[in-house]
Amino acid sequence: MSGLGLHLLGPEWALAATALALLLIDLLLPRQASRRSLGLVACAGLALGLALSLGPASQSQAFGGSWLGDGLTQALRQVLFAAGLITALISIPYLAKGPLSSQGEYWLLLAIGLLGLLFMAAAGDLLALYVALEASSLAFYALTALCKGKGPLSVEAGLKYLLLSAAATALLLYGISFIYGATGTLSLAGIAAQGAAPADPALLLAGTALLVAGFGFKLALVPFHFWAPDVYQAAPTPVAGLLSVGSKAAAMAAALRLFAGALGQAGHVTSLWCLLFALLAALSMGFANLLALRQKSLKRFLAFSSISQAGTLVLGLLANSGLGLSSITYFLAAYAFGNLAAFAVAQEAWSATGSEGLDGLRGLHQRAPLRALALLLAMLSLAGIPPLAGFFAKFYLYAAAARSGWWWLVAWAVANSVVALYYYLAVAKRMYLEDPAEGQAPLPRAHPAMALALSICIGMTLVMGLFPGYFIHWLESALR
Amino acid sequence: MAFPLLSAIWLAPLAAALAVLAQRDSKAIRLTALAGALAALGLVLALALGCFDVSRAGSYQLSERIDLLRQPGGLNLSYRLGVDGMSLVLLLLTGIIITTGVLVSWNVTHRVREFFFLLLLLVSGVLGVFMATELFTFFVFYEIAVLPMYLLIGIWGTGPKEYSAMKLTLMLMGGSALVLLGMLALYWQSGGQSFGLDDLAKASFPVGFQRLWFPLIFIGFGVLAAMWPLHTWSPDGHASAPTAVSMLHAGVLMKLGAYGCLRVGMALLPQGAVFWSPAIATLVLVGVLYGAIGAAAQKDLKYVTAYSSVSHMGLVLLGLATLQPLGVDGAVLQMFAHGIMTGLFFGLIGSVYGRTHTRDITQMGGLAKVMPFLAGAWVLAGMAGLGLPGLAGFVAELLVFLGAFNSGPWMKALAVLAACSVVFTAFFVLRVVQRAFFGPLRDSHFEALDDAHWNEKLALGLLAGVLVVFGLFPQPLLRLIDPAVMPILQRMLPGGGQ
Repeated sequence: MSGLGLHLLGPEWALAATALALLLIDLLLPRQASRRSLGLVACAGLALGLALSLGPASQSQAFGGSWLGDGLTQALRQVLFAAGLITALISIPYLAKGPLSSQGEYWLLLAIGLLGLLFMAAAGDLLALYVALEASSLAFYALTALCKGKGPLSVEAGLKYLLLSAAATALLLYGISFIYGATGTLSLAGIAAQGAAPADPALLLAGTALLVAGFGFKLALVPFHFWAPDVYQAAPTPVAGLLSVGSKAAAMAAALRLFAGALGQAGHVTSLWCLLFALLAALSMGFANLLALRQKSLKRFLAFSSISQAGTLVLGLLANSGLGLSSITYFLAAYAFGNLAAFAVAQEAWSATGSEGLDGLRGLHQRAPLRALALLLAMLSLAGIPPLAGFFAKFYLYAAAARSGWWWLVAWAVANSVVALYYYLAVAKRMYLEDPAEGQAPLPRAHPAMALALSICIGMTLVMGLFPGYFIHWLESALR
Repeated sequence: MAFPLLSAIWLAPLAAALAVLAQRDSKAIRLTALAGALAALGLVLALALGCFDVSRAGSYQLSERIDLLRQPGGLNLSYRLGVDGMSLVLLLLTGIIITTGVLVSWNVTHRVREFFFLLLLLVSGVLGVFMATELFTFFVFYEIAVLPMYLLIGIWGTGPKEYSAMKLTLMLMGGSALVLLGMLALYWQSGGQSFGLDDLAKASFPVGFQRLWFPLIFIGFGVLAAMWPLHTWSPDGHASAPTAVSMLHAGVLMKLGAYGCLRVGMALLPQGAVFWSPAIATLVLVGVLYGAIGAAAQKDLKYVTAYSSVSHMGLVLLGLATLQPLGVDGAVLQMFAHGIMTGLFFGLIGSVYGRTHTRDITQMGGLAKVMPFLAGAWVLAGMAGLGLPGLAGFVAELLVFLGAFNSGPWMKALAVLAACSVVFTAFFVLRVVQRAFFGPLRDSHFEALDDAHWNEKLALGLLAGVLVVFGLFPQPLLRLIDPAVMPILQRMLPGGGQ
């Protein structure tokens, strides 16, 4: 462990350099000039970052153990860069419609937010975790409020996000201080060493409970989910997509490190966080499904669907095993491609009709057959229908959780997946069973960047579903 | 590597489905779909007549295997196919039903391309299930077979089609959720090595485990076999579905449920089956009687046939619950016979409805005068339905009842009651024949109607022919079924399967 280990952070450097380049280009370009080049620079930077993340992981650390370069980091880099790249591709046609006054800030904040998520997924101590979390959150607050075209709605959502997030962060910090008090260290390795026999067990238990609440907020688990539907609805659609996917992925990686890693074999503490997370997961699946049934807005619908998906994801954390870890990374990738495709088509329907209602999808199979098919496949993947990626992801998670004895929760999850199928099919129904309403014209041709993003998402959804073994081995070689 | 015949069987309709998507002209679409269906049927016939060794009908043949995931201590998944005698019989049924289903759909005009795409996709899944010898493979095909139903009924159906489609899909998926849980339980309990049916059959699960999980798996599959009281999706679904979809659904898809009950539930958890069979037989008996009485009370031809399907599928499940060689043989034969018969029924209803534009039997009458072929075929199907000797249904039902008489006193009592259903079946069959086809022409508009066209004659004639041939000569089918059933039943004997 000599030096800072800065050379290990290749992909992160690439992204940071991209962020700087975006800032400079935006400054140097004349005020009236087109800002289209920014999108291309961002995509190029993200593609470079993804390419640099593809190799196997080296067990290493930087910043004296604050940053861990292990397999989980590597797998999360792949997921996050892929999600970031798709978000950037979707953003290009979004910005071309001109809803934002300032494109420069949009791209810069996107890059910084993603950078924060990358560090959050790799945090080796609680302080680094906190700093990375704040870095990404600050960027996302601003991004949420950036969409002035929506008037007060977007500012309200940004503020709501900020305030609720601040409360959650306070819980998190309070919990961190308890844990520090109980174990005398902030590093995860140190906590793992102390966790089994802490100086003050009660303090550790209290800290753990507070941390569960803080993570519940970040993962948007019921009852800490209130911000999600408003934020998703008001934020620029690509940002909502990234929030629903990237934020969740990074938070789950951090939760894996903290709970399954550092507090995974800590007796009562382990039982406590397992119980709390199990309750949050059960509530999320049940409650979000009921609310998703009632949504009229496509983005709010997707918000509740992603709350329910997050509840399912917690099964992998509860498995508290290598199998659980691997199933979570697979699930995150499958979920990212499915959910981003859904948000992308939502954006297409919105930009063509100006309405964000589910009714904007009526008769989409006539108005835009390929995009309707993409949304259908995305919905079926999220619903867990074979042979799509989402099916295998759920199967793998259920198997991992069942292996660790969580039968009641697996049964609850399986039952809820049937309810979820109802609302996912309701989307299919609008697209395929209903005819377009009067005045609903065919959608204009998709922007090439949008077409590329959807092709990647759907292609990966199919390929990951058809050849799960190949991708599991890929992820496991990264995780090893 | 030898030619992967079994993979080719399910890939043929899938390839045709994809080829259909590339076509624009509706005639070309129909011909492509027919080619796909005939290819599947042809490959199954080639398998039955050429490659399959009847003397070893009790074990899986022509096995194929590709490992999907090998994870020591984790998931071990593979794609495995194989056929034994029982699979072969059901593959043959599927091949016949899809071919006739495409033929009777010749006049579909609305969104033709998507219709045939989904129809062929569904069949591809069904064929896959009947050949799967590994639970994961089985489950994937099973869901592929079920889900296209939603769109097929929702888009091309009649009446409250959206409601029926959603009800059907959710109930069947609820069943498959139970199956999914059961799969995971079997896998981890057996040590987490393999989902292979053969491997799991050797695992000898503790009796308590078997008694706990057997009902869940049996009910999970039982939903698709329209087991009372979880049959309610079936009448609505069948009544709303377009003709070919009803044929496939009642003819083939419901058999998937019964097949799963036998192949997964009874074969892997034999002691669970022994423990629960009286309870299941009792439930099933209610279904048999309820379906038959329900059929006798309906006026809509599709509801009549849908309720009679509940009754006939109940006989299949009753045969399974006897746990006797005769009864289980009869159950599998009944799957085949009922599949053909109900395919014929629904095909006929489609043809009649396409002409009269009503399915209400009180508004029909004397149709035999204007459509003698259709009337004749209906009488034949009806005779098979009420179990007339010489037709395939008779042999099957007889075996089921004999099997039940061979078991304990409770089963005997149930068998007597179940046999009463035949009276109701005879009543509704004869009532429909009398009301709809004979007597004076009730409506002068009917005089202008024509008889079956070439495609209908071909399809319905084929189904009727199969019904007669295998009614007179059931032996070839039983020679395939019996050896495949025996190993499953032997595991139920005390100390069996060790």
